[in-house]
Amino acid sequence: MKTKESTNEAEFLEQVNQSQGIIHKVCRLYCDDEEHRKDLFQEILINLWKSYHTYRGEAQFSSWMYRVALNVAIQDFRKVKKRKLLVLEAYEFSEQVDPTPPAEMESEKFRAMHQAIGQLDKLDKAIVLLHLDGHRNEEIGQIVGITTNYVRVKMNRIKIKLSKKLKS
Amino acid sequence: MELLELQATWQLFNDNVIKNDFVEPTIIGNSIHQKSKSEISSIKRSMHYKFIIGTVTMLIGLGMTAAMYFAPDFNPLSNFLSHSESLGFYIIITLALGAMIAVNHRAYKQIKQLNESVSNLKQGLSNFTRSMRKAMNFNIYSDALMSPVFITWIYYTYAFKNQAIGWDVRSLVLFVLPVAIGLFSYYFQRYAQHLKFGRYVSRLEGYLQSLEENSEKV
Repeated sequence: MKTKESTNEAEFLEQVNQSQGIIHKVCRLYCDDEEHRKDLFQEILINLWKSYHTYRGEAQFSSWMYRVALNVAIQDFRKVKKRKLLVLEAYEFSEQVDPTPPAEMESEKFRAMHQAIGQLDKLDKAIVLLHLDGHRNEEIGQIVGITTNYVRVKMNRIKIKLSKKLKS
Repeated sequence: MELLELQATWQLFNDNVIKNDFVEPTIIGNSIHQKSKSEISSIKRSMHYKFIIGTVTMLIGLGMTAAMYFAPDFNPLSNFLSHSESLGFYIIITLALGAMIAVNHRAYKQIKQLNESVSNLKQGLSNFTRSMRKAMNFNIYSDALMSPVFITWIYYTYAFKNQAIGWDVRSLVLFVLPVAIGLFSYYFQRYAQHLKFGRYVSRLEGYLQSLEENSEKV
């Protein structure tokens, strides 16, 4: 006979499995190397599981996942010693770990994208990730905890920053 | 690359993530039961150990105080201290540990709650930075409290082995020592905590401030 906890865990794993792309995207944007990416991936999963009891199905599971994943990524703290070792750029890391590396043109585009987004602070990264993933300003505002108007203002500023970086 | 192209690249990036990063459900299942490696979790674990060790020590201290109070012949520190001195030692240690445990418990509870709740990023930042400040303060004040107590008692044990407290340099040192060690521990720990977490917490507080200030302006 299945216990309540094992049913919960099975449900949780099924839902997370369907939306695991969210966690991977957050990890790719917030981490510089594979070790850090693995640690953050695990950390997000642990936090999702620990707080799963708070998910009541009112919001979409993916929005709830974004909240947890972005909170963990923003609050993530690594000791300076470890951080000093992280000199690889995002695209180099991506090429190293990809079993099937993207085509050269795509790789170049990824590099430019990572470099442009990489210059943003952690909070702006969260907003741009949500925006690029097709969330409406209202949803972004709810996840970040700011007004829809301010999301618009923030996005305009971020676009200027990104545009400058992309042109250069 | 222009902004519109960025959106298109994001789609390619999505495909790339699905193709290369997706893991088996069993890996996800195993990951959720593993020990967290985050700094906040290690702070929580260390607070948990401190709480257990502190509680056990406080209970021993409390037991010793009670035993010494009800049995005047009982003095486990008879080699160094008289009966009343030992009683004073145990009372001070028990009270200091009690205060430390209470502060520890409050900070620990807040951090535990933080791990198990989901809020928006602004609220999350606010709760997190508050918890971190509490944990840092706990480390600062527990050290500033416990170090003078222990060191002053050690000094007292040796300096007043065959001599009572009077108007002399030794007695003066007895009163100056806890203040000096307390201040030194406080500033040293404050510096150490700032070095370890200060910049990181300040940066998060900066994010929070930018969200709060600008939300008001809009």
